[in-house]
Amino acid sequence: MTEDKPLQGSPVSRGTEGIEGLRVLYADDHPEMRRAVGRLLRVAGASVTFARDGLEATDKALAESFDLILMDLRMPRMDGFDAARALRATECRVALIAVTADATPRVLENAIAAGFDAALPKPFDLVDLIAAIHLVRERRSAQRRDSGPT
Amino acid sequence: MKARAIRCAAWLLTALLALPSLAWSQDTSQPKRVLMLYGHDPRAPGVLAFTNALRAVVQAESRTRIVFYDEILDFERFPQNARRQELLDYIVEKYRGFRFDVILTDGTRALQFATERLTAHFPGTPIVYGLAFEPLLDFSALPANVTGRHHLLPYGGTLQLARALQPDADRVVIIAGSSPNDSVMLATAMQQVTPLVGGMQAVVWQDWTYASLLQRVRTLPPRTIVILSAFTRDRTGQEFNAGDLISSITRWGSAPAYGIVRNWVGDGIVGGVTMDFGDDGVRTGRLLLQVLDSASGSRPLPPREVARPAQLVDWRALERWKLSRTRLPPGTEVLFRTPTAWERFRVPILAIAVLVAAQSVLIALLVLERRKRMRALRMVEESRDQLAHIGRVATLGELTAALSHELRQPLAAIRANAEAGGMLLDRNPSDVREAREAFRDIASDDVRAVEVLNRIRALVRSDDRIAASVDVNEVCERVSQLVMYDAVQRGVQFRLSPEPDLPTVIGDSVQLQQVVLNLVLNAVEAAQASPRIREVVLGTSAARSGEEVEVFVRDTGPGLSTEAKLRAFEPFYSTKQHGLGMGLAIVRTIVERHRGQVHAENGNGGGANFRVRLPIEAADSLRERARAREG
Repeated sequence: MTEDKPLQGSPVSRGTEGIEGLRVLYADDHPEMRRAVGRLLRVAGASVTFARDGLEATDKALAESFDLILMDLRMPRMDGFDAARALRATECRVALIAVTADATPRVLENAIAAGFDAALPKPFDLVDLIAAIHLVRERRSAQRRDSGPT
Repeated sequence: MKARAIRCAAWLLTALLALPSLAWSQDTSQPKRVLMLYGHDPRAPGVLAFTNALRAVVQAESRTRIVFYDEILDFERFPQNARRQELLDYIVEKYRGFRFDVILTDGTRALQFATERLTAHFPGTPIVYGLAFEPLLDFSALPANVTGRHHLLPYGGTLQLARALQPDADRVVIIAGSSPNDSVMLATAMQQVTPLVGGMQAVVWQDWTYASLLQRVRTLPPRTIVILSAFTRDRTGQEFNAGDLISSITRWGSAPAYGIVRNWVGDGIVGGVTMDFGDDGVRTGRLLLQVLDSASGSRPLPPREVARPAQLVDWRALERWKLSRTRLPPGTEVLFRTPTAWERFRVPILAIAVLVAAQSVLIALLVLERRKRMRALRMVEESRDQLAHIGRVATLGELTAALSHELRQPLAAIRANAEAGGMLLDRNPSDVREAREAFRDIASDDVRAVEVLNRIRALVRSDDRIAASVDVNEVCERVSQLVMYDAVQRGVQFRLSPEPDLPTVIGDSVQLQQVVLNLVLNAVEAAQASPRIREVVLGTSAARSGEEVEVFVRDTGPGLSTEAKLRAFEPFYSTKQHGLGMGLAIVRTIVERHRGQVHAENGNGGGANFRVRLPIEAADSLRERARAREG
């Protein structure tokens, strides 16, 4: 998967804080989703790397360094759950957000259990994504506070 | 002991001697002698009826032997008085020394001959008469040794009967023969008829020949009454048998005829007030026996009798002349009545009527039953369609998650592209090129979303009937799109294995899609239960030398039990815990409506294999449809 740099031009007035400058890995088996979400992230100032399934995603996540991994749950070869478990098993601490078109409470629970930090139901927009990133960051800092040296 | 034997022998001897003496006394009793004088021709039918009846009753009822001595006086042909003396002399000479117990006479003139001439030569011999007619003789003036039975000639009564039956008659024709006796009878007839004619025209036909008479009766006006008097010969001296002549007159005649002799009823006349010569013979015979008895016992002779005529009609003649039976005077006897078909065949008619009625009821019931059955069949058909539709909707329900997932993909892409597009335009300077790309993507995402919706709609619409060419590979492709996600969800590998360039089938693509979908969903569910490889293959191939196409669905599930193999397609049979058991029943119904067959079997490597075979759309049916379209 090619990596897309942030699109050139001044940042938009709408809030893109928290996205700008992020290195994002987006894993989805639907090409139209990769194209659309990739475009949105790049407009918001992120650089995006794509993966078509869980296997490709884990390979790239372990080979490169990302600030955020957005991952579809239902994918051929290796689904999002297995990919999350595989990453967490390698002590990878990258922010992991699931995107799913099947956002039932059970699926979301399963996603968190597999190692995702948050889950976004499809369709989502930039505000939803930023909110999810903030949530992840807050949780991370809270965890660090809780588990800090005493 | 010896004395007793002698007594017995003596008794036996006496008995044996007595037997022949009894027989002798029977045989040797003096026979009664009757001198029978025929005034009429003894071969004439009326006279024959009289003498036959008389002799029969005498033979049956007489205790002694009776010997008849017949003399034919033949006065009809030899009426001259001069000859009567010679005739008398002949009879007297012939029977000189004879003693007759009774002299029996036939006819009025024979009676006159006996009382006026013969009785002097056989003094004291009683005379019994029959076939005699008043007013040809004054019976009250007869001597005391004479008894018998006579008729009153019933012409008047006969005319009255005729008038009752033909109230609109305006003419009465009396036909009589030319012999002296015929003339005497005609005179009596005229005497009786004339006062009763009223306004009618009365005509007498006497001066005719046999041929001319038959010619004349053919042209009688319809409102005519024909009274037949006596006729023994025509004006040329030709003699007739009355029965033959009457038959001819009534057969050719154009008006109804009536007569006064019972024998004639049956020869074609309508009827009349009639004299019965057979009955006369019986009663005269009994008078004769009484006279024979009284003569031997010197008792007085039995009183003279007057015959009572009977009013008779021939039913067939009434029918022929369309004379109403309701006009018959009371007491009229109807002879030769042809029983109606109802009277003759009442039992078979009733039986047939009952049979026909039963058959009609049966037919009506069968028709009703058939109508009910057709209605039920229609309802079943409708129910099947509805059930199939419900089945499709239910299947859709099962696939809701998959469909929702599919629809969310393009929707999510649209949302992201829309937002990105907006942001690209908001930039300074705007990135119009990229924004345009984003909007182009939105359009194609939208197309994808619509495709998903179309697939859903295609599954639930129920307006299509079996009529179109269907590509089974396309059907399988659509189904695979519907179930792919569901299969992945369940951890089942789903594979499509179509044989390219298969001929089309005639059918309803929605229904066939339902068939394949049901089979595939079942297969996915079965494969899911497998602990090892979870795989479903949906494939197509040509079958039976290209005359059919086959759609097969193979799974790696546990396979079918023997019972399930037999009953899989029965309604309400299910191996699933919450299954309704209609899925495969609907499959079979749809396949059979497409003139196809569906089989369930177990694969060689385990798992179930469902095969649907459908006849291909033949070339001739294509031509037919092309013609229909052009028409």
